[in-house]
Amino acid sequence: MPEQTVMLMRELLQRSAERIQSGNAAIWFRKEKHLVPQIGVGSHADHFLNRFEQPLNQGIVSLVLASGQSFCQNQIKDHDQHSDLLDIQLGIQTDAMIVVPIHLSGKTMGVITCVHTRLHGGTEEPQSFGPADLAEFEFLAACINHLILAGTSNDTPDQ
Amino acid sequence: MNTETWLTIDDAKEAIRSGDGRGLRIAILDSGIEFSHPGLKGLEVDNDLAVVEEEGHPKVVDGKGDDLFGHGTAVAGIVHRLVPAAVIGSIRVLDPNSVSRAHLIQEGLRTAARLGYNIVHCSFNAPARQSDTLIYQNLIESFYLRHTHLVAAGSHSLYCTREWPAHFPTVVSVGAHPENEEGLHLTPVKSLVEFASCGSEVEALWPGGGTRQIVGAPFAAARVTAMLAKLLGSHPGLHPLTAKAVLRQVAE
Repeated sequence: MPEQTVMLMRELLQRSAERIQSGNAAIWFRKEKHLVPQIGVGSHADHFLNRFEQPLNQGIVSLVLASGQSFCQNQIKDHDQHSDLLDIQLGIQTDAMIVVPIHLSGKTMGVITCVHTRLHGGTEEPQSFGPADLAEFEFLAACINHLILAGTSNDTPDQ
Repeated sequence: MNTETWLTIDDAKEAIRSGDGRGLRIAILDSGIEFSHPGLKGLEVDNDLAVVEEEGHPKVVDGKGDDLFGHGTAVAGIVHRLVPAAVIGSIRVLDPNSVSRAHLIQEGLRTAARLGYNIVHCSFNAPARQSDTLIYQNLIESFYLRHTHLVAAGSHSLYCTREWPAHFPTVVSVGAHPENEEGLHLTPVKSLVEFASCGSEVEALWPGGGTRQIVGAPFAAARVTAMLAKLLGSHPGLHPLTAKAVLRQVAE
């Protein structure tokens, strides 16, 4: 994928995350039996991009990849069975998460995530997402779909 | 002589208000259902099946009460809560290890048709590959001819890629209402996902006997599946297009 396409995707991700008042968002792509975060914004990005792999049979991100449906979960810490592999690695707790699928050429090739987090053991009131926030990221996913398609096209503009 | 069922808007609203889904069989095509969940107590279960991949081909096997992701149990919980007298069957078509989802989904739809369900609820969306379009079209048309009602979750995003089965006009396609409004609404923009309902569930049933707070189009679609079941419970002969037209009339 051209570097300019990646930069534009990162910028779109940043703007959408800010619009819904979230600090951290990432674009994950499927890599064999895992999902790998490859483009991200926020304070956690440098710590897990291209370093973390989520198994395809675990977690909300894998659910969205399999179903092709967007999903949002709030009050995550109040429920067991949340896949906290990444939380443990980063020393945080995830309070809420939005996940939307990325489609290309008839396949769900990845997901976009956006989270509200706190430091592990934090006492502040947890934040949550709603349907309007989910809609914002669905629109972002549509933009990313078209960007990827354009970025992988062989056409070049006339000089 | 035309003997097809018709009903007035007032009849439809009354059915949606008071119906309990009695006499209806609903298939939920999703990640499986944990039928042992305490929140599904009293549910009459019809079939528990899974479509798996064996040597590259889809095969229908026993679902074993497994929900691979949690999704299907949440959807079943909403439907059962709203239409407690309806019979529910599970056909698991979502498999994390499957390379291609489309052929599992197609086999799941064929199985639901073969088992004669009144309503088939699809919580997923498969990106519309050209190679699959004719297969989906044939399946959707067979549902239409059998008078089997299909409800599918979909996105209201104007720029999303085409998705099956939500983007077929004979399907009742539902997205999450952006302001979380309960009841049934028409999408304000021109979209093949014509309906919207509340997609938030504060205590959605989740595998392991617990609950989660979740938001998504499948949970809005579950509410509309229940509304359709209430309609069909009092007017069993309703044609799919008539039912969809009635839903459009009662929507706000």
